[in-house]
Order: sequence, then C-alpha cells, then structure tokens
Amino acid sequence: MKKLLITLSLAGALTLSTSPSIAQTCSCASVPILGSMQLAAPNDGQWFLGSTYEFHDISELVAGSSTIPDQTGRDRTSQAVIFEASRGINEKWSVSALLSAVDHERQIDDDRAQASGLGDAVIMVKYSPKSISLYSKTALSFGLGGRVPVGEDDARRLGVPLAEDMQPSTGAYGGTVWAYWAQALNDSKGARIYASASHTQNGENDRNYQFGDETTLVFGGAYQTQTPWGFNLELLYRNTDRDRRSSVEIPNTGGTWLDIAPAVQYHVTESVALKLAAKIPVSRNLNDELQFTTKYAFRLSLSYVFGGNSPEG
Amino acid sequence: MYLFYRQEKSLFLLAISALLLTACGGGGGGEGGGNRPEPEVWLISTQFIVDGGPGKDGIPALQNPAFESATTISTVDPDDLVIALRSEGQVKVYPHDVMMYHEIINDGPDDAPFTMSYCPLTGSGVAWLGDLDHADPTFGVSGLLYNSNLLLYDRETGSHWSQMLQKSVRGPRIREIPTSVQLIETTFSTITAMYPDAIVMTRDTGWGRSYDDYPYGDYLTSQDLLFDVSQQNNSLPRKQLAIGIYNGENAKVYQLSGFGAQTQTIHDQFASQSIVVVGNTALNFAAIYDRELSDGTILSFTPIQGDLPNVMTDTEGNVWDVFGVAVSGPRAGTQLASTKSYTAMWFAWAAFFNQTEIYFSRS
Repeated sequence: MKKLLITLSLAGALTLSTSPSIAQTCSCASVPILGSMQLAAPNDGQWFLGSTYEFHDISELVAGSSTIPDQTGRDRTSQAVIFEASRGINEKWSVSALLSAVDHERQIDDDRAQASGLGDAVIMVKYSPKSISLYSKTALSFGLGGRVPVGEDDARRLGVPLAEDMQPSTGAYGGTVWAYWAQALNDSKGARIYASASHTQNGENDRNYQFGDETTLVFGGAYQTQTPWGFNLELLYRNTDRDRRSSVEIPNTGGTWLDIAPAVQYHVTESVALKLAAKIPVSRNLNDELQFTTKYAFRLSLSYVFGGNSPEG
Repeated sequence: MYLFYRQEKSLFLLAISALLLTACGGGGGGEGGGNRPEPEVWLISTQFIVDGGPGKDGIPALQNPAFESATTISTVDPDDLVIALRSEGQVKVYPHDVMMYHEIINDGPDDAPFTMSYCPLTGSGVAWLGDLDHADPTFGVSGLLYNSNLLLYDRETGSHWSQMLQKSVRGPRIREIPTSVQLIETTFSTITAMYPDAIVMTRDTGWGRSYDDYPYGDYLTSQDLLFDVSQQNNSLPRKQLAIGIYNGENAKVYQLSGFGAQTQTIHDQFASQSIVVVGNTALNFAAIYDRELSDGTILSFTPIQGDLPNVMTDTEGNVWDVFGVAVSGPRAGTQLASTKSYTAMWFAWAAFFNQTEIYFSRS
C-alpha cells in the first residue's frame, strides 16, 4: 500500500510536466525556452525538487506553415537548466518556485554569438480541490503565477544588446493562470489522461520590448507500468501574439504551433525519477510570415520527492 | 533509511551538477562567444544600434545574381519599384521585392565590382564601388541596424558601414567613405520605357524565398516604426519617400510626390553646391546632380518631356539622360557629378541628419 501511494504521488507529480509555459519568445521565431516546466502539486507537507535540462534547435526556417531551405548555415540553439522546488502547504494548496539558467547560441557560418546567465524566476500558487488517490480517480488543479526577471537581459556584443530572443531573461514581469485536469483510467491509477490550459500575459522590459502573450493547451496520456518505467504522450497547442516594441507589433513574430511530445520516465529509486521527453513539430502557422522556429526540442528531468506522506520524510 | 535518504540526496545533487555543467559550460556573458574581444569604438551612438534578430548573414546577400532581359522577364509587374544603375554601359535593374529578402547585392565585373544595398525599413537604396585595394571587396548583412537602417559589414575586415551615412562606422576601416554609384529608383514600367534593353535581376537566386510576399506586415502603410530612432520630425508622414542630399549633419529633401505629372527641374543651393533636382511624380523618378562641371561652368537646365531617358537640356544645347550623361550637344559624353543623394523614407532623413530641410515649391 505504501509503495502504491508513492507511485501515485510520483506519477501525479511527473505527469504535471504539462504545466504552464512561461514563454520567452524570439523576435525572429517564437520559442518557449521555458516552455515546459514541472510545476507539480505535491501532497500535504511533501517536497518536490526538480531539475530539467532543455535543448531547443531553432534552426528551421518557416514561411507561414511551409518549411523552406535556409541555406545560411545557421545553427541556433537554446539550452536551459530549470530548478524547481514545490511544497505542499496542506491537502489542497501548494506553492512552487522556479529558477532558470539559460544559454543561447547563434552561429551562422563562422560567426558565433552567445549569451548565457540566469533567466527568469517563477512563483506559482496552486489550488487542487481534487487529487488522484485511493478514493478518487480525478485530479483538478488551478494555478496563479508570476514571473520575475531576476536574470541577465542586457547581454551585448560589440557593445550592442543582443536581440531579445538571445537574452537569457525576458527582462519583464509576467503573470500566468493555469488549470489542470486528470482522470485515472483504471483502479491502479497507472493509466490516465490529462489536459491543461494556461495563459500568460507578458509585461514590457526596459527596452520597451514585450513578448507576445501566450495561450497553451495540452492533451496527454500517461501510463505507469508495474516496473520502474512509465510513458507519456502529449499533444501541445500553443498560440502567441506578436511581440511588441514600444507597443508596435513586430512582424515575423507570434503564431500557432502544434507539437507532439513523447516521453519516457524511469524511477531510479522510489523517490527519484528521470524523465526524457522530446518535442516534435506537427504543424505551425507563423502568421503567414517568415520566421525561424523550433526544429525539435528535448528535455531531461530529474525529480526528487520527499517529506509529507512519503516514507523518506 | 537515513543512509538511503542521503544516497538519494547525493544522487540528486550530482545529477543537478552534471546538468548545470552541460548547459552552461563555457558560458557567461554575451560578447561574441569566446572569440577575442572586438573593438567597440563606434562613430554612431550605440543607443540606436539594435540587433535586428536574424544575425550576421542571417539575411543572405547575393553574389553576382542572374539577369534576364527586361523584355522577357515575367516576374516583375509594371508598377513594381526597382533600382537601376549603369555598369559598363549596361543598365541593370534590381527589383525591390528581391532586394527585400537579401538587402545586399555584390555585383559587377572583377575590375569594377560594386555593392548595391537596399534597406526595407528606411526604403533607401545605395550603391558604392568595391575597393580593389582589398582582396575581398564584397559586403554582407551585419544583422545590426542603426536608426532602423541597414549596417553592412565588409567581408575582408569585418568593419561596419552605415548605409545612409555611406561611411564605415566601426572596425579597421572606420571613417572610410566609399565611392558612390549613381542610382535611379523608379517603377519597372518607367525604367523599361527609358531603357528597353535593360537587364533585370531574376528570382533565380538559389534561395527559397517567397518574393511575392512582403515580409514586414503593414509596415509601409502604418506610421509605426519597428525600432527607436535618435530623433523624429513630424513635418511629413514618416514613411513618405523623398529624395535627398546630405552633407555632414545637414540634409535637404524633395518629396517624390511634389514634382507633378510633367518632368520638372529644380535649381537649388545646398551647402556650397549648386544642384539640379530632376523628377517626375507620374513616372516616379528623381535624381540630384551637381550643376557645376569640372571646368567651373555652372549649367542651367530645363526639363524635357516625352523623350525618355532624356530628361533635361541646358543653355548650351546639351541633352542629358536620367543618369546625368550628356547624350548629345557640345558636351556629349560628359557625366554630371553625382551628389551624396538617394531616396529614403522621411523619418529616416529626419533621424540621421540634425538639420533636415524640406524643399517646398514657391509656386
């Protein structure tokens, strides 16, 4: 029974990887470098610590919805390490804090630009009126969060600030509302389907730049085997408004993306789990304009749950 | 249990450290990614230099593009805007819609290379000769903008060049001024009426761009700018095209809409120069030449109607074409001296030059 509880707790926590995206979009593309955070909702008194490594290849040139050959020899990547700590305050309320470190690189032939440093921080409060347990097959959570620009947003080259999409931090405050629903499909709760929705409003930074507001929808399924292995498959819809500078919409930004994200997770111990997820574009419509966008992305997550109802506590 | 807890904690911290090293190894700061520091001396205010987003060479310059006869090319409509120049006696035409996606064309014969540039955000077209003292006289798109205008870089030294200032503003060639090439910016129908044997840059560029699609949304019709500029002047609509002449901090502009349906010549004084501005709103062309010849003669011009490409005559009986060449008369073959002039949007003239005067006809 104790093992079943731990499994349920971890499965719930890791499934919540479909949580709000805090977009850092690109002035020439639209790339959510912090697009997939593990904002889990831990149980009462429980701690969740997570670390995620993300890699985005942003070298695909798309005109509207058609991929076209770029031929410039571009290699544009973004990497991020995201640290997260979540704590269950009681049965229904929890709080999460997140800090990111970001590295952007842009190489075209032999010219290389790079910037790295602290990115944005996020604090989110969640209310979970329903959780999947021995007595319930349904989970429901709502979250309200704020992004704080604690990091580097003035990386320069030749004395000139790099483009906004190359800055580790957005340099702007933002707010996110988020909702999550999950339904267990069997008594062991090992199989479930879930959905989440989020909307992020972005503020303006010191250079009067404002990343486009973003709405995401996620539909997914998760299956935790009787072994340490578990699997996820998600369909991700994302829509962002055009970025703005001094309130003027910037062409070649914003759009709609549909991605598929398969994932596999492995429980190293009862409390520590690894998860590997990929993001593969299905379709996109980038406002009928020419933009560089994500060719593929993957993330590797490590999570650790302790305290509360877990035996390790 | 405690030992197990400590082992898990250590495993977790070890893994986090590995992730950190993977993600941020070699990182830190911006500044060119580990290359030796580059000098940061600019002749222009870095406050108004911006990284446009695509990066250096992210907008690909063209090298010796393909051309087709103006009489057979099917991808250019009569009303399409083009830039034309004369190279070794041949009029070459560069359509705006291709220039929008490449901004720089390195062209010309080996012994007289030139670089044509067009900035979609300021509507300015400029060409200058390649410097044969340099092994590679070609230019690329730096990815940077100053006052919303293209900054080029030369491929040999990496120096940056302001298109509208026509000067190197950073790098080993700082302060160098290239030799400009006379351009005519007009519609395809006008240039083919002037020069039916002209050749036109084709869309066979080797780059898969949708040249039919304008890449900047409603930029041309909106009054909004995409980037901050150093100064603004609301005397004219921001995006209105005007041909202008500049010298140092001073400029004088002539609205393309102000010439009327008949070709018109304007004798004017700019700084110490006696100039003639010739233009026709209906035919959508304008050019500015120095009226003073090398022998000190200052010519007086009158416009010619309906004899394109010839656009003016003078009191000596010479007939001059739109490129400022005397095609007949006692000075046949003489070239009027080019001026520091080009066509650009009004906001750009106002941003670049502290003292920008607008010409208004006395009539």
